[in-house]
Amino acid sequence: MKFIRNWFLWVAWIALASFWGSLPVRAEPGNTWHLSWQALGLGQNVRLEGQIASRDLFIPVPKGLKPSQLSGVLRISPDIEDGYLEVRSRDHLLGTFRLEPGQQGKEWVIPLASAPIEGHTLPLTLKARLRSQESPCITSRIGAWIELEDPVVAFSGAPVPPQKVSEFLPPIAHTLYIFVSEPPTPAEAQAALTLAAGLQRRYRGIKPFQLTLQPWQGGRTYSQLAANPERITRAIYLRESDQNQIRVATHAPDAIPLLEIMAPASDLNNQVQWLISPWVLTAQDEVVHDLIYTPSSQNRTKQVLLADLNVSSWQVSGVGELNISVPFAQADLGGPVQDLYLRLAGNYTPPPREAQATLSLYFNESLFFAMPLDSSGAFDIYAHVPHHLLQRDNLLRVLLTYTPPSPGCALDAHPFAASLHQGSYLDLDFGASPPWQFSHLPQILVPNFQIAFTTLDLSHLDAAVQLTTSWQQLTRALLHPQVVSWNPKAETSTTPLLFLTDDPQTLQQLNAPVQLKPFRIIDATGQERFRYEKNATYGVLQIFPYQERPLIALSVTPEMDVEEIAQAVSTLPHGWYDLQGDFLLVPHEGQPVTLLTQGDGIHVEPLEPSAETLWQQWRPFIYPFLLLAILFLAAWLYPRLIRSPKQND
Amino acid sequence: MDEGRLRLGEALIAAGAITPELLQEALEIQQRSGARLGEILLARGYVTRRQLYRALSQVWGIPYIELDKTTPDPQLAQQFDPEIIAKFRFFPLHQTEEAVTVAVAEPPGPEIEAQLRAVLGDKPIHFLATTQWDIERALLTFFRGHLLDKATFGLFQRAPQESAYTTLTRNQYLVFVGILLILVSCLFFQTKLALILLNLIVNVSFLVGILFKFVVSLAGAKIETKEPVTRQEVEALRDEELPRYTILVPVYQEANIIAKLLDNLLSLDYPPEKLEILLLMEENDEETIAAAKAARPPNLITFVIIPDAQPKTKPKACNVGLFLASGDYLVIYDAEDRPEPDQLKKAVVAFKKGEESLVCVQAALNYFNAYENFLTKMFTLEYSYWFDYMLPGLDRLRLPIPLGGTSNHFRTQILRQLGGWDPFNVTEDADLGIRAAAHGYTVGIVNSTTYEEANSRVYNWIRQRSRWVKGYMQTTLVHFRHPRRLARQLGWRGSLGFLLLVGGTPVIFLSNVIMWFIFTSWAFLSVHAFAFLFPMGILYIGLANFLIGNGLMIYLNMLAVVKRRFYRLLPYALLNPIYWILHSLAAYKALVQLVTRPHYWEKTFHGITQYTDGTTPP
Repeated sequence: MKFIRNWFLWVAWIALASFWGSLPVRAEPGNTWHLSWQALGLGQNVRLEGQIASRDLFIPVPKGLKPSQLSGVLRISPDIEDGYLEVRSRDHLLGTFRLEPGQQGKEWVIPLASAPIEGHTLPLTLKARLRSQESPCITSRIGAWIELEDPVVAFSGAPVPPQKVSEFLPPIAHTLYIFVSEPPTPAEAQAALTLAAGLQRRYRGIKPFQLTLQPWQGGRTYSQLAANPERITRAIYLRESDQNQIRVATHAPDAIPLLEIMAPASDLNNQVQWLISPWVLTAQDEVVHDLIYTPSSQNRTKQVLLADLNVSSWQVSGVGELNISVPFAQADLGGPVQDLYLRLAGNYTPPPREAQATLSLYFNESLFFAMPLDSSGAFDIYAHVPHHLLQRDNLLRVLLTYTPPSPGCALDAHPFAASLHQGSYLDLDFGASPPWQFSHLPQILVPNFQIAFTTLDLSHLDAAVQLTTSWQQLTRALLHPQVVSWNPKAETSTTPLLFLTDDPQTLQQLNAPVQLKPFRIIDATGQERFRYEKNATYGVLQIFPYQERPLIALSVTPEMDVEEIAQAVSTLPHGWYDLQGDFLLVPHEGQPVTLLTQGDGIHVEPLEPSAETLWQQWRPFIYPFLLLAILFLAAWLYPRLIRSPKQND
Repeated sequence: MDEGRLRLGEALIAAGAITPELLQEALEIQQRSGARLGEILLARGYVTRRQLYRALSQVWGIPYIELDKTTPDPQLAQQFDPEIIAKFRFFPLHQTEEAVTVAVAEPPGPEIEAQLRAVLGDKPIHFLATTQWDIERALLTFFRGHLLDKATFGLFQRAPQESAYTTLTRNQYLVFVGILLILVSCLFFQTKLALILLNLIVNVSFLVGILFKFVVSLAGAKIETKEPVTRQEVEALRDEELPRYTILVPVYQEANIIAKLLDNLLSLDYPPEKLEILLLMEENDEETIAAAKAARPPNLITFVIIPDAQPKTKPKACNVGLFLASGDYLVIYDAEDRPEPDQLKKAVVAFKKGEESLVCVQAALNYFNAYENFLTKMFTLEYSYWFDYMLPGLDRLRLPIPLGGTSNHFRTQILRQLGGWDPFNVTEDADLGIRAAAHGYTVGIVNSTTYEEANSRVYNWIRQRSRWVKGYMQTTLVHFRHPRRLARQLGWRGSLGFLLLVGGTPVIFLSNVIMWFIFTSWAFLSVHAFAFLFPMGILYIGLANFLIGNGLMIYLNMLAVVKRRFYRLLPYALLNPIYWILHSLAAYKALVQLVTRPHYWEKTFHGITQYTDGTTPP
C-alpha cells in the first residue's frame, strides 16, 4: 500500500514539477525564448535611483541561447520632467533612450542582439540622467527614479544539451531531479543532501525553482519524465558503487540531461562536493573517472570582509542622502553571532566650509553610529553593533549625507563622493544560546549540522532534503548536512541535529515538548487553544534543547506522510520565513499552526484519556457489542414479555 | 299467595323469630320497596339467615339442611355448570339409584327443575332447603378450581388479545427490538443528530401531552355549571324503583380498618334489602377474616373467601365477586373508602338518564386526610384535578375514560359480557374503561365523591404509583396490539386521546426527570456538554415546556383545589414540579417491574393515616 501511495506521490510530483518547470520559460515558434527576470535569478525589477544613476547587470545566458532583447513596463517617478537612459555592454553602446513622462506604463524594449557574451554572462550597464522638478537634495530621499517592471529577456536559439561534465550545471536551471536507489544507502542520503544544498545555493535567486528527490527504480522513473524543451531541467543520479565515475549519461536534445555519479560510499559525498565546487569547470570530458577530491575544511573566521557579502556599491557620489547597503544573513557570516563589530574605513570629498556632511550607520534600520565628516577626507570606524539588533536576516546601511553650501542644491555645484575600503570587515564573536526557535535557523546550522533517521527511506530523506533546501534558501553560506547514526543515550555532540523519527518512544525519551500522543496546547491565560485526541493525524516539527544541543525533531503519526510537513514548509508564502516559535504542527487536514511553546506563554500538556478519547478508541468495538447486547437482551426479555397461552401461573 | 300454604311471616312468628309488630313493619317496607319479605327481614337484622331459611323450608314444604353438616357428592356436583348453580341457587347433594337430593335457597319450581332435569334426566328429585350462604360456600368449595380458572383466565381464554397475560405480542416485540436497533444505530452513527432528534421527540411529546391535558381539563371545567345528577333527581327516586345493588369490597391485609369499612358501607343511603355487600377476602389473609368476623357484620354483608392462588390481585377477587353478584348494578369500593351516602342513588339516576350503551359511571375520588402532610396535600391536588376536571373533560369530549380504582358503578350484566376485570393488568380499572369503549360502550361520570385515604408515606406512595404507571403501560400495550382495529373501535380521536392520556402518562413521567435535568443543567448551570441538544427550535420548545408546561399544570391544580374549596392547598400547587420527581421515580420502578414482574400487585397499605376515625374530613 505504501509503495502504491509513494508511486502516486511521485507521479504527482513529476506532473507538478513539469507544470512549474514550464512557467519561467516561454518558448515561441522560431526558437525564441523568453525568460523572466526572476527566472534568471535577477530579482523582481530593474530600478535606477538618483538624478544621475548607474546599474550594472549580469544576465546569465544558457548555452545555445543568445539574448536578443530586454523588455519590460517602464515606470517613471512623477517628478521627472525628462531624461535619457544609456545602455551599454562593456564598451559597446547598445542604445540611448529618451525618457519622458508620457512613457509611463509603456512597454520598453532594449535591444541586446549586438551585446557580446562573456562566457555564460551578458554584462549590461544602465546609466540614467533624470531631470527632476525637485532639487537633488530632495530627490536623494524621494523621487528621480525609473523602474523596469517585470523585465523579460528574449533569447534566440535553443539550449544545447551538455556534452561535458563541466557544462552539466547550466547558469540557470528551473527543475532539478536527484535520483537515488530505494531505499537509499546512508552514503547516497549524505550525497543527496549535500547536492541538494549545493544546487539550492547555486540557483538560490531563481524563482520558481524546484528540486525533487526521486527513486531511480532501474531508470523507470527517469524515463517517465517527459523531456520538455521549454524548461531548463537537469537530472542527477547518485549511486553508491564500486566504480568511481561521473558521466553525462544522456545528452540527446529531446531528453532531460542526466548526470550519473557513481562512487564507493566513502567517496560519493566528495564527488558531489566537487560537482558543486568551481573545480567542476576543469572537467572538460563527458566522463570523469576515479576522481579524487578532498573538500577544503570548513574554517570559519572571526572576521568577514564586506567584500564577501553583497555590497550594493563601493562608491557613491552626489548630494543629499547617499546609501550603501550590505544585506546579509547571520548564516552568511559563518554561524550564529553573539557579538558583532564593524570596522569601516573609507574616503570622501572634504566638504567645503559652508557645506555639511555626515556618516550614519544603520543596522536593520536602527541607527547605531553617526559622525560628522570633517575636512580630513577619510574615516576609519570600529563600532559595536548592539546585540539586540541582530536578526536572522540583516541589513547594514551606510548613509552619507551631504548638504552643499546654500543657496542651491545643484548637481556638480559642489561635487561630493565617498568610497568604502574593500578591506572593511565585520568582527564577530560566534555563539548562540537557547531557547532554540525556528528563527535560529539556519544560522545555528552553520558551519555544519547533523541529520539522523530512525528509518532511512526515500520519504524521510525527501523530507530532510526539502527542509535542507528551505534553510539553504535563506543563506549564501553553503550548508553542510551530515548524515549520522544517532543514539540519544550516547549523546556527546553539541552540533545541531535534525532528527526524523516516527517512534513515539524515542520522542518520549528525548523529552520532546510535543509527543506523538494526545495533547493539548494551553495559552498563558489557561485557555485551551486546541487539542489533538487519539487517532488524530498530524505531523510535528519542533526545535528544543536536548542535553545542550539544539534538536530539530520531525515526526508524524502513522497515517501521515513525513513529506507533508516538509511540503507544508516549502509551500508557505515566504517559506521558512513564515515560521515563528519553536513548534509547527501540520494536521492532515487543515492549516498548519506554528507556536512558541517554550517559556512562560503557551505550553503543551499531555492529554489524559478522556471520555471522548476513550469513545474514539472503543468506538469500533462498541457497535458490534451493542448489537450483541441487544440480541442477548432480546433473548432474555422474550420469555418475560411474551407468554404463551400454555403457560400457567 | 295460596290460601292453604303457610306464609313466611306466620312461620317466623310461629317459630318465635319475629314479633307481629316487626312483621308489620317489614310488610310496610315491602310495600314501599317491592323487595322480598325475607330479604327485608334479613337485611334489617330482624331474623338470622338460618331462622329465615328454616321458616322458608316450612313455607316450601321441604326439609331444611345445613350444608356444612353433610358431604355433597363431588362427582354429582361436577356435572352441573357452576354459573347455573349460582344463578338458580341450588346445589346437588347426593344421588342414589332411586333419586337425587338437591339443596335449594330458592323455592323449588319449574325453572330449577328444568335445569336439574337437563342433567339428571327423569330421576326423582328430593329437595332440601338451605341458606344462600351454604350454596355459595359449597360453590367455592366444590368448584374452587373452576372459579379460580374463570376468575383468572376467563378474559384471556375468551379474548386473549384483550388480556395483559402476555406483556407484548410477538409482533409488538419485533417492533420493539427493531426500534431499539434503529435507535442504537442512529446513536452510534449520528450520535449528536440522534440525541437532538430524541430530545426533540421527547420535548414535543411532553408539550403535546401537557396541551392535551389542558384542553381536556378546560372542557371538564364546564361541569361546574351543569351537574350530571341533581339532588332533586335523587330525592324523586322511590325505593321500589331502586334496583338491587352489589357492592364489592376487596380487602387484603386490612384487618385494622374492617370495622370502619363496615360503618362506612352501612351509612349508605340505600334500602339494605336491595343491597348485597360482598366482602372479598383472600383465603390466606386470616387476620382480616378474623377481624371481619369479630366485627359481627349484619346479614346483608357476605364474606367471600377467595381461594389462594396466583396472581393474588384485586381484579381476580373482583371477578369471583362478579361471579356471585346478584345485583343489577355493581360498584367497587376499597376498604378505606368513604362514599358520599347518596352515591348509589346518584349512580342509579345517572344510569337511568344515560344511554343504553352506558356501562359504567365513575364517581369522583378525593381524600379525607388531605392536610396530613406534604404528600397527601399534593395527592389531593392531583386527585382533585384528575377527577374534577380531567375525567369530566374526557366525558364531555367523548373520549375513552380510564376508570379510577374504586367507586365505579357498573351494569352487572354488561360487565359480565365484557369479561370482568383483567387480573393480569395491575390497573384493571383503567383497562376496563378502555375495553368498554372499544366494545362500543360508554363510561360516564357522576357528581358524587368517595373519600379515600391519601398515601401519607413516600415509600407507600411510590409502591402505589409504580403500580398505576405499570398498569398504564400494560393497558397501552394491550390496546395497541392492533392499532388499526383500535382506531376503528374508538375512532381516530378516541385512539389519539387514549394514546396521549394512557400511553403518554408513563412517557412523560419517564422523560420528565431526564428532560428537566438536561434543560436546567444547560440553561441555569451552563453545562456546555448539553448545549448541542438545544438548537434554536428545540430550545423554544424546551423553554415552553419549562415555563408554560409547568405553569399550566400548576394552574390546573390551583383550579381544582379552588373548586373543592381547599384554599389552604393553593400554595402547594406551585410545588407540583417537585411532586413530579416522585412520579418519575415511580415510573422507572414501574418500567423495571413491567419486565421483571409484570403481574405483581404492589399492595398499597391503608390505615396508616392519623385520620383513621374520619372525623376530620377536609
